[in-house]
Amino acid sequence: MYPHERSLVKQLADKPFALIGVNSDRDREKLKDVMKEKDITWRSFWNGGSTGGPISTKWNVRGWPTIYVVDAKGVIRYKGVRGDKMDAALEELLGEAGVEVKITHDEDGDGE
Amino acid sequence: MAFLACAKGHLNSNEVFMKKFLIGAFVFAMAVLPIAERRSLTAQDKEKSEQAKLFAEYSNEVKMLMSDWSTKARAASGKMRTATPEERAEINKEMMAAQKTLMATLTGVGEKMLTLASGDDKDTAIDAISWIMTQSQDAAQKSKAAEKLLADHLDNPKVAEMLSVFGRGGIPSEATQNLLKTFSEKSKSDSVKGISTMTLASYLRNGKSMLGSLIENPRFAEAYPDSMDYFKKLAATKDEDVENLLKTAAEKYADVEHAGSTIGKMAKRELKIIETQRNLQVGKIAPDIEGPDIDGVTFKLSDYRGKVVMLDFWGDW
Repeated sequence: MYPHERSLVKQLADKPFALIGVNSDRDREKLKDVMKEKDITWRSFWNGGSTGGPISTKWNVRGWPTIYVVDAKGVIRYKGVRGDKMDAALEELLGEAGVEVKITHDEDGDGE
Repeated sequence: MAFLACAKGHLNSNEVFMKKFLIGAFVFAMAVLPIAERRSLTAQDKEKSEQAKLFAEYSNEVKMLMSDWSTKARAASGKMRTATPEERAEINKEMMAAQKTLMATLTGVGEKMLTLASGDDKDTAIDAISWIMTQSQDAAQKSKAAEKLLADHLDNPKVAEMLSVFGRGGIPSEATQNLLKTFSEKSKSDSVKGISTMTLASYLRNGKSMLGSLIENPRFAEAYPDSMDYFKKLAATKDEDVENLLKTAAEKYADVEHAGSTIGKMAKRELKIIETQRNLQVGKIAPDIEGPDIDGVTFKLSDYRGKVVMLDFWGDW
């Protein structure tokens, strides 16, 4: 997950795109260390330290990770897409927002 | 049940056989457990009738047989791994024979249970009916038991509780659905109607979500050839039908007590979950999120309007 996400964040840095996490880890301090160590630069909501937290409950999330893709108008457009399908979804929605991109990943997936 | 499909089925290979029969044994155990638990709670402190003693004796007999059976099944599946083709055939033959004996015994016990289902001790009669409906492999016995239930116990809240156990576990069946429907419509007791309406709603919703992906699985279709038409129908249940049942339950039977809560509270909670799910479908505006980030700074999902957002529910585990 992380390499693919890092690659997306890097490639789409100047595009109308945001990767937003909702994190359900238990230990917030430990999480900060993990994020630093694994170069997780994107912003995450704190789900209250539990998978049963308020945000995942409101969004009826039962499995992790769960991914939603929301378009520029705020409409849910995809659920549970990964890998190539995720890239295609982002290309499509960015295209709708008037930005043509072709997402590519190199072998280690870090976009460099 | 897979169990039965397995006994009747034409076996292509040892592996298919072993898989089916382990699934069968598992499903079987799942169906039996909740009932066994419930019995130990209700039957303890009573002066036992003759009928109740017989019930205990019969169900014990089956319990022992079943435990014997699972031991054998485990051992057989262990042996299969290292067996030669000849040995496998031999193990298969043994297991088929053991299964046949087990099925015959179950049918025999089912007949005896049917007699108990007509006895004067109503509590035991209900237990016997419940036993047949969950454990008998004989369709005729099951439908006789269901008829008994409708004829003699339509207004008994104890039955509604029992149906709520059926409705929540085990393999869905048209008979279960019809029974719940009849109880929810025809009973004279509000308590029975309320619990059955609520159970029917949960049954439909669970059936739909459980079967949604399973019916596409060829192995599943193979295990339940006779039930697939019904399963497809159940998987196509409309949300609206479930919601109407829940609304009825919430409006008419709000104060009926059930499972440590009331029907009103339970139905409203389910309605809310359905609404949440509907609001999260593709094509809906994403519900806004407002909360702290990892550093405690509050922000909103809607702050990102105008951008494509990949929302990732994650954890580092």
